[in-house]
Amino acid sequence: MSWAAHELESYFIQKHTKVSVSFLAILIGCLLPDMLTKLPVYGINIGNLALLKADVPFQYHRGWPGVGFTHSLLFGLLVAALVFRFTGSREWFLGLLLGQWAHVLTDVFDSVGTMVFFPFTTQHYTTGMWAYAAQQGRYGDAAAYYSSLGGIWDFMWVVLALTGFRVFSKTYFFRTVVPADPAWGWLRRRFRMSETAMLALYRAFFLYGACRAISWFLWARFVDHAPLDLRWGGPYWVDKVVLPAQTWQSYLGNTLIGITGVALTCYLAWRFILRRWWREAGDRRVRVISAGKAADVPRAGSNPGHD
Amino acid sequence: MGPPPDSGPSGTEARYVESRQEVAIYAAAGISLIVLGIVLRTALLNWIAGPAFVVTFVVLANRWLGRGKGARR
Repeated sequence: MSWAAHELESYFIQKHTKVSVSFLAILIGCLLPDMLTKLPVYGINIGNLALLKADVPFQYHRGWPGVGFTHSLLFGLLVAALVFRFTGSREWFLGLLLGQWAHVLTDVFDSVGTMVFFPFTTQHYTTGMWAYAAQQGRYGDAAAYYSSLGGIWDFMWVVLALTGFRVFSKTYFFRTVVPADPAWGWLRRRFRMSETAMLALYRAFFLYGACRAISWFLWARFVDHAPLDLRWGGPYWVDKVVLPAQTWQSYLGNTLIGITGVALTCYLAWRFILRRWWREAGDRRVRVISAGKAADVPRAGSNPGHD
Repeated sequence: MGPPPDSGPSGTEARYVESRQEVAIYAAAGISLIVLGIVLRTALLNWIAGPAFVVTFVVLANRWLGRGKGARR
């Protein structure tokens, strides 16, 4: 799993998406799969008691049976579609979809990977770049992750986010991020947030992600003294989860079924449901803009001077 | 007639200019998060407490340094 990449990739996506999209939705989409599943992976430790801990963390987190479906492309489509139905916001639909899909694809890089094309296949897709070691507990996992290419992966996202440093500016926030998303206005009214607090909230996930990576990396080096191993699939010293080997025929067959199933579902969902909602959302926006303009224009026969 | 070109940013633009003090506040928040993160580990390094710490730190520091009032609307 990725530790800080999910917070950091949201800024990268925001910068490189050419259409209007909600940053908050991208961020929630990026966090969503782990938001729903992470607690039982490590459990809650009180003294020697481990509460709510899954028996087989990787099976629970990424597999089926388990909640591995949260790390699939169609789960993102389902959540984004539900939110679209209730909010009618194109920006939130796109943001959630992009964020959740980014999470699914990012987690492909560890040794367990994700069921990208679930439910059409429970085939895991993985590059095995670093060890999946959640079964070692939070600290064991942190030590393994930040001693392997996983840590480098996080720092790469810090650098990628920083290359588009303009997204952290006040100007970008108030002129691009806020106008694209009515949720900022809602947050401001509901929680009486100042501009300072809104800007801090926007930047907080970058600062948190970057500092988290640095913090765990330093902890692994100087407190836990975990040996650094930057070879593919490392670190060598952790008992990592590796899925059973498969034949190429079975792998390709599952992939073909998966791609076809997901592509067909996306097409049908767009053709029969989402396209109509998308059009309705556009019509609603036109009505709001027209109503706003009509309110500014004096009605025929009225005399503004005497109002 | 508008202001001369070199008279500094207009009122709207001035709101978007980042002062050194603000940058320093974010830097201090980051350093605190790293140090406290190493010491306290999970307490500050989860996705709710971490960002909440940053927002609280920045808002309180701005208020303490007398800049919060200007930004509040």
